[in-house]
Amino acid sequence: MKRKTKVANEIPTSSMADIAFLLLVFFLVTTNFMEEKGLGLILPEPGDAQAASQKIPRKNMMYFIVYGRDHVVMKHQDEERQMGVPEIRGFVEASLQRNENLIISLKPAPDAPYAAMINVLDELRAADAKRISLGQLKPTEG
Amino acid sequence: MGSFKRRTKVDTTIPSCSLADMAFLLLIFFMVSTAFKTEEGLKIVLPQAEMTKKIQRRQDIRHVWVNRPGVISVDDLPVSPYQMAQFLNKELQSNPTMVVGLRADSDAPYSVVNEILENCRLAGAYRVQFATMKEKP
Repeated sequence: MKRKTKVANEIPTSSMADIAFLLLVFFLVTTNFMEEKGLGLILPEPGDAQAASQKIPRKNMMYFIVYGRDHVVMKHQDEERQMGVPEIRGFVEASLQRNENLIISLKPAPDAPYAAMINVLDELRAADAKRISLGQLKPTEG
Repeated sequence: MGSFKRRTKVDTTIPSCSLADMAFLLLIFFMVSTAFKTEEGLKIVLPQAEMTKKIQRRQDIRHVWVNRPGVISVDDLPVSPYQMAQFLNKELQSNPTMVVGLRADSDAPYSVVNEILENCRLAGAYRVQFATMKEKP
């Protein structure tokens, strides 16, 4: 009893390319690079005496004191009131329209969580505030 | 004399047996050239911010990690703010376009972040990026 049909003794290589490309595409699609995302800030140079001694009129300063995630106090001239984070954007936008020289000073308390400061900074960015100063709340203030 | 017929037949198919080799070569090339994150970092939850923007120059970023209790880590080593400033100063000398990528936990106390920012200023690293994420965690 001899076999009549010949069995091919080769591995089919024509689909190998498909497999390789499939792997290639799979890895290309599933690789997720670590993306760098965030809020940028340029710090002032230390010992800039000229800038430090420059008197800023009181009406051009607006303070946001951050005590916690839901505890932000706005101070501007004689006005002082607690503010929710979502209302900061509209308020700052309106204030900037009235006075374009406004400098916004963000003062987080030392024990305030980092995210609370970021949330307020985010709102200031959204309101397109260009002049922002960032410094920790001193014990004598607030 | 009319025997100028071609004797050998020209193969009309494109050879496809080397296609697999090419594909594997590409695969290996991408696998080798992909640079993965080399830093381990600290376990943190990034704060969420709506105005999050992509940062262009990835190569220039040096990460400073801060976890929830306020431990600072640079290059996978726990450091003091002063040591961090020294590290950043050294990095700045080899790469003047360096950017500090601050990856701090949402609940890290601000006093630690303030100390880091002060030391960045002293080290001459004025460009800082607060790493945030756009979507809610």
